[in-house]
This record gives sequence, C-alpha cells and structure tokens, in this order.
Amino acid sequence: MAAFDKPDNTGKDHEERFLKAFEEYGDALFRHAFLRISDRDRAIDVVHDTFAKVWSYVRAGHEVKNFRPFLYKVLNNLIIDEYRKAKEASLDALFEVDGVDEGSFQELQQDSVESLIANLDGRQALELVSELPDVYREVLILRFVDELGPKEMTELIEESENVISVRLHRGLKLLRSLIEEREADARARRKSHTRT
Amino acid sequence: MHERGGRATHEHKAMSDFNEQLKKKSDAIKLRVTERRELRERIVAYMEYHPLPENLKTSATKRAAGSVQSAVVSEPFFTYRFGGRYLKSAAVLGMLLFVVGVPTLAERSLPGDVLYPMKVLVNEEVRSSLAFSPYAKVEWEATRLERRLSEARLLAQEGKLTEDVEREVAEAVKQHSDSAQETILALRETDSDGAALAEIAFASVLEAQADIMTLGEEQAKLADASSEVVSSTVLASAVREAHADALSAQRERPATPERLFALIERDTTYAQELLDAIEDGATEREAQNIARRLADISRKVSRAQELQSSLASLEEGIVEPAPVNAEATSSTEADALTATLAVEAAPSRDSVSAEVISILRVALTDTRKLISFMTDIEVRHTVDVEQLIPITLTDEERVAEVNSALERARGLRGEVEARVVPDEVATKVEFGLGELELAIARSTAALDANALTDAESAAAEAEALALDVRALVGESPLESVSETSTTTPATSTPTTTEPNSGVEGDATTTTNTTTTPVM
Repeated sequence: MAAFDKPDNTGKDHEERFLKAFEEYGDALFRHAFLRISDRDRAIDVVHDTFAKVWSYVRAGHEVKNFRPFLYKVLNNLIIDEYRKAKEASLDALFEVDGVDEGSFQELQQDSVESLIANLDGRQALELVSELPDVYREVLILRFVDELGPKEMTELIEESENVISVRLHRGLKLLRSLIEEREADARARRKSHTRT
Repeated sequence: MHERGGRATHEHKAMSDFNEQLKKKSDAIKLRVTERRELRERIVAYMEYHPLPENLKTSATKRAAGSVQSAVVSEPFFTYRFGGRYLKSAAVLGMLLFVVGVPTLAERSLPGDVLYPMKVLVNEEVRSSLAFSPYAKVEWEATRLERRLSEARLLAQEGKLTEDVEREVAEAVKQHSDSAQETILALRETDSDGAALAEIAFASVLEAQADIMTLGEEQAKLADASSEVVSSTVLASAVREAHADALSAQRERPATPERLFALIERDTTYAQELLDAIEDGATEREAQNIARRLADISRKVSRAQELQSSLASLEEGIVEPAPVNAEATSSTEADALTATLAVEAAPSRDSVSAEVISILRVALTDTRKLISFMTDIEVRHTVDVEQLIPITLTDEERVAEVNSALERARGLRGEVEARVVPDEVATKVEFGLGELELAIARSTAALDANALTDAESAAAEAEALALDVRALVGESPLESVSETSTTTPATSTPTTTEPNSGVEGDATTTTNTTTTPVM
C-alpha cells in the first residue's frame, strides 16, 4: 500500500480515481462550462453529465490513463450539443461555417497572437467573451483560461493548428473591437454628462 | 535600435499582463461550496446506481475486508502536531474573516487549507476509501433522510405540513433508516470495521436531527408558538426511534479510529468551508458562535489524536501513563468513562481506545449539527446554535472560570467575616467557613496539579458554601472592629429588621448608622 505519490496509479480502484478526478478538475470544468454557456445551473448539469458519461465509459471497461483531456473532450462535445440544440442567433450560424482559406493564412502572418493581446485588458476580455460566437469562445477559453497547448487543442477540437490559430486571431480581434466599442460608449456617456 | 528584442519583451510583458488579468478574473469563477457538495453527491449517486461490473471491482471490497487496518498501521499516521498556535490563529482568523466580508472570502482559492491544518494529517487513501459503497450508500440514506426532514421543516414553516405529509415523511425516515441498517448489517460480513464506522456516522446524523427537533420543540413552547416549528410528535418520535435503533445496533467492539478521523476531517472541512461561505442569513454573532464551536470540535479531535498517539507508545511497551486526566466532553458516556479511569493507574489500551472513539463520536455529532445549522435555513430559524451545541471551554477558560468562582467565594467570605454573626447561626457559620476554606484549598491545589475537573467541582462547592454562609449571616450589621477570623457574638443595635433575638447586653458596639440609642 505504498503508492501514495503516484497520481494516476492503477493500484487504486476505479471509483477512487474517478472521484479524485472530480476533486481535481470539477471546478475547472465548471468554469469552462460557465464561460461557454453563461447559465450557472445548466453549466452544473453539463458538468454532471460529463462525469456521468465518463463513468459509463469506465464501466464499459475502457482504461482511462489521464482523466483530464478525456473530461475536457466530453465536456466540449456536450457544450457543442447544447449549442446545436439551442440554435443560437444567426451570428453563430454565420460563423459556423468558418472556413480557413488563403486569406486566413495571411491573417496569421500579419499579427501574432502576442501582438493582438498587447494592450488588451484581460478582465474586460473575459467579461465580453460571452458576446462572441461559440466557435471563438471555445478556442479563447481553452487557450487562455484552461491554458491548453496547441497540440492539446488540436486533439480536443479536432481541427488543425492553423484553423485554431485563425480562430484565435479572429476571436481576439473581435474582442478588441468590442472592448473599444465599449470604451467609446463610456467616453461618450461621460461627455454627455459633463455637458449637462 | 533593438526593435526585435524590444518588441519581443514588450509583447511578452503585455501578454503576461493579459494572462494575469484574465486569470485573476477567471479564477473567481468556481462552484460554491453547496453546489460542489451537491454535485458530488449526484455523481456518487450515479455511480451507485450504475455500479462497476464484477470484473472491474478492483479493490474496494477486497481491500476493505480486514486489511484496512494493516494498511494504515504501516504508515506513520500522526506525524503532525496540531498545535495550539494554529488553533488560536484559526479562531481569530475565523472571526476576522467574517468581519472583512464576503468578496474577500470568495477570492480565496482553497478555503479549507489555511484554517484547517488538520487536513494535512489524514491519510489520503483512508479518506478516499470513505467515498464508496456500501459505506457511501449508508451516507446517502442519511442524506436523503436529512433532506426529507428539511423539507418537512420548510413546509411547517409555511403552515403546509398536513398530517398526511407528516406521516409520509415519518415513513420515509423509517425507510431510509431501515435501509441503512440493512446495508450496515450486510457490510458487517465483509468489512466489520467499515460497518462500525457506518453505524457511528448514521447514528450521529440521527442524533443531530433528534436534538434539533427536540430543541425546536422546546423553543417553540417557550415562544408560545405557532405552527412554525415541526413540533409534531409523529415526526419527532420517528426520528427518535430511528436513533434508538441505530444506537442499540451498535456493537461492543468499537470502530478503529483511523477512518473515523478521516470522516471527521472531511466533515469538519466541509463545515469550515460552509462557514467561510455564509453570505446571507448569518449575523456576525452567529458566525462567531459557529466558529467557536468548530474550534471546540477541532480541539476535541486533537485531544483524541493525542490519546491515539499515546496508544502507539503504550503498544511499544512503554507504559507511560498517558495524561488521561478526566477531560470534560459533552457526552455523558465520556463522563462515565473517564470517571472510571483512575488518574494514577496507567490506562489500558482498550480504555484509551474507547475514549478516543467516544470523543470522536461527540465531535462528529456536533459537526453534523453545525452543518445542519448552516445548510438548513429552517433549522437556523427554529433553534439557537448556542443551545444546540453547548460550548466546550478550553483549558484556559476553565482555569479562568475556576478562578473567578474562587474569587466570588472569597468575596462572599469577606462579606461574612466583615459582619456580625447572629448567635443562632454561629456554629453553622463557623462550620461553613471551615468547609469553605477546605474547598478553596482543594480547588487551588487541584489547579496547581492541573486536575481541572477536580478544581471545578471544588470551586463550585466553595461558591455554594459561600453563598449559603452568606445567606445565613444575612443582613447582620457590619463589624467595625477588625478581627481576623473570629466572629464576635456581639449585641448591637440593629439598623434594619432584627433577626437577632438573643440580647446579652454585655458589650456594646457602635454601628455605622444608628437609629436607636444604645441601651
């Protein structure tokens, strides 16, 4: 009974490992779900369903070496399902077929992610992320909140690195313009106040 | 111009700013304590109802069958000292936290850690062994039982608790209780230790609920109330019956403490998190009261831990009489138990073990009461935490209490000595004062010897004697002649109503306020 230091030790039984995964990743999964869905209760339900699904998988005899990527994958799929069910605003539908073409690669060459983030307010970005279509939310949250690496993201979303990169770019640009818009509004309001 | 490098570092900084800001804000998003607990329960329930097929059941049952003990003994279990330092800062911190306010609390990432160093000591594996069936099944039954009661309270509050509904709830209580007992019985076959643990856990839930109901009834009667309290006998007696069943089902052989410690650790951590997170419905006073009781509980637990580790040295053949001076706990069982332990004799392994268990039982029940108090708003409305869980005084507080009792006794004695003692009570007074001296001396000696319970009883005796003697002397006039201890059987002109009939007419004394001239 000496295996206390190894985290994903198969010596421990399935139930323990599974519940441990809940302890470890529960909050992070909820955070992700909430940032995507914006409804607290539904987010909790989605997280519950995620764990339920993964448990069924374990029951079926599949060995899960590392719970984290698996949980995220299931969660992400469930969230996408939620969106499909909800049939969100046309804006989403518009961006759904967000193709990546020649022009897109040009975008990549022009600005790096770093330069897009420069001078961008992280706090406001998070606040406004809910106004973005889900395709962008997905990559932005996975990248900046869950801090997934490029390879992890490709495995999760099942798109190429380039596609993901393009989405990140577009998402950030959108965020930037949303923030600027907001600040412009704020300035305008202040001006009108001082006038009166 | 080092544009490239400059821009790179600038961007790098900007990026980390962005990341930081974003992270900071996103870190604040997480499950609330109650949400987390509920979600976990849902998941465990799901696992319960969709259990693993036989071929996948690796070790839960296999390991449980008798080998938990050996597994745990091989690990150095109590390597951490739960010092008083932590406790004091925990208590203070607990109070400060509430005063500071909610937003600050919400931003702390691990509510339990700073205030609950106890978390560190529990063996991970033992802790997680609690997570699963059939032990969890018993807990689940307990949870559902609590929920039904909680619902009943809510209905009663709204005046909607009809007889029918009440009977239904009582029936549900019985069902859950029976189901739990069945599971425990079955568990005895494979894991008798786990069964004992489950029994204790279940009994503590029932005891907490029974006390809550009793207290609710009492307070309702005092308030001359209303249908606001579940004062019905049907429900209350269902709970009490279930509790009685649970108690009688307990075996003589007590559970081994390790898992009980883990259970308490888990529950107290939850209680602490709840306390941290109470945003509404708790006044400052309530929060302090709750924090105080949590501190009491953790003191009990560390006391149990001390005893437990003293057990280890007993086992090694070092017959060190563990300082098992009769510690006061709030359970009568513990009192009876400690009464039988002679302070001089080295306590036997079994008795120490038994004391550990009984302290932990009390701690567990108190914790459940606290949790109930914090999570069930109806409980908060109907009972007072101060009465639900009486305070356990710390040693320092007890010493202080003893000293003030002695002070009062001495004060009273002083008053007696300053007065003239009426004849007919002279002998009694003398006798009383003598006894008083003895009691004070006993108490002081006991204090020096750190025998707190003895000191307390002696001090109580002293105070009682002092009051009696003081009452005997009554409104007897004050002596102006300062004599040390002897009382003069003097006649004097009374200033107020005269109880003294024996007038000898020998000496005359001047009194402070004379209304009638001396004869």
